[in-house]
Amino acid sequence: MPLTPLRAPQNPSQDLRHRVSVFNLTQQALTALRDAVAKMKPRGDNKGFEYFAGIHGWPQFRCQHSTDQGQAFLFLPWHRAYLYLFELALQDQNQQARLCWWDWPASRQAGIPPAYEEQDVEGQPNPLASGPLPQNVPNPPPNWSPTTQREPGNPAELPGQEVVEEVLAISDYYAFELALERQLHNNVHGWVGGDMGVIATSAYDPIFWAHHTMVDRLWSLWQSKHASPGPPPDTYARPLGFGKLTVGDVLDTKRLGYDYAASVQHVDVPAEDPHANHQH
Amino acid sequence: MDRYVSPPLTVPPPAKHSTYDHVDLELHGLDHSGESFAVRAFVNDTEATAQTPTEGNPAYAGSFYVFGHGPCLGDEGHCEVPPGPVSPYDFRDPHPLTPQYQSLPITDTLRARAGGESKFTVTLVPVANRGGKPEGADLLYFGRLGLIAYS
Repeated sequence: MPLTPLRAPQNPSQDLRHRVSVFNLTQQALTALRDAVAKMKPRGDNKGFEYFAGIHGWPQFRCQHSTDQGQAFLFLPWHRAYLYLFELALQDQNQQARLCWWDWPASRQAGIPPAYEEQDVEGQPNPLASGPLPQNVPNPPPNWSPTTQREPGNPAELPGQEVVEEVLAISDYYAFELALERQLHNNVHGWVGGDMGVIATSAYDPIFWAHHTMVDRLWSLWQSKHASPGPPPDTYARPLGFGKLTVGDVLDTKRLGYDYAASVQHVDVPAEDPHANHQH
Repeated sequence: MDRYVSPPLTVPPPAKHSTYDHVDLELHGLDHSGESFAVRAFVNDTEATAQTPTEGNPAYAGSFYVFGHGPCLGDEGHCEVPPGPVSPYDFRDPHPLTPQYQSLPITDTLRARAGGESKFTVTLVPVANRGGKPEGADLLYFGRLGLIAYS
């Protein structure tokens, strides 16, 4: 089946968002991210933090992970679409807000990145330190609290760069996707522990979004390294459960308006008269 | 269960001549309804536990990680997995608690530990993050163990 593209952007280079490591966020970018998350949290509508968290886990459980009934070909495309929509919701609150990625290998000494670990920022609660848990669940466990909790393990047990490189080197897409999901993604969820450690509540913790942005970045790196989008063409028309978005729509991050550029530099060229040097 | 020790397994035929390319351990029907956990695999170490070292241990074949669903928050029946579609017109996605499949390559460890033997055992130890510390846990439930060799 032919790929039906999204509406082509008018100018693909215009406003391309560059997602950066949480360790490379400028103070301005971190402030914008915190501002957007803080504004999403109290909203009770479909622009709110709980609405998005509830898509992945309780109560909707629409996330796609590997099962015993087939290959996990929707794990990466589904989460890419999910992050894309969440980032747009962030920008509805603060136009400058961007998702950032959690560089796990860079956290093997300090653990949770300070941007997400600090409890207070300038005398106010850090919006990235925890998220609100729904309080209307029918059967809450005894330790159910108003906000998410973490129980991080030994930082040295986070995936190292060597393991990440081994996974990126896998040439078969399905084998790569399974290794990325089970060896890296699952490991980090369990390492953070607490509410991040289970599907039902993980997306209510703000660090979920930085964790999955890293997963998405690794898929993007794999795509460049192996010169392949990944999923086979016969999956492109498969809907992802987010309106019209299909697998084929999310293969190229630039079509969704972002990338993972290692560094970005713009040089403004002074305006000149284009005819100044012409000889008549 | 808090530990699984396989019966003596037969080395896949190619292994007798050490000519197989790789060997995968497979778990089918793996339960993931509780907390997240790691499963550590050991070859020819029937006494392995959550306290058994992994670094530098020649019996340690590797780990895989299970992203647990978490406690059942719903009303009665919420977490009951139906055996399949309820009718030919049921096109809903599988229940989120549908058991998983996991695999783990054990080639190098198998060669080193059982290269010259016809039988070996696999011990699987589930380890959970409890309060930031790894701890043995009663979390490992699955339906079938597979050993798949590729030459």
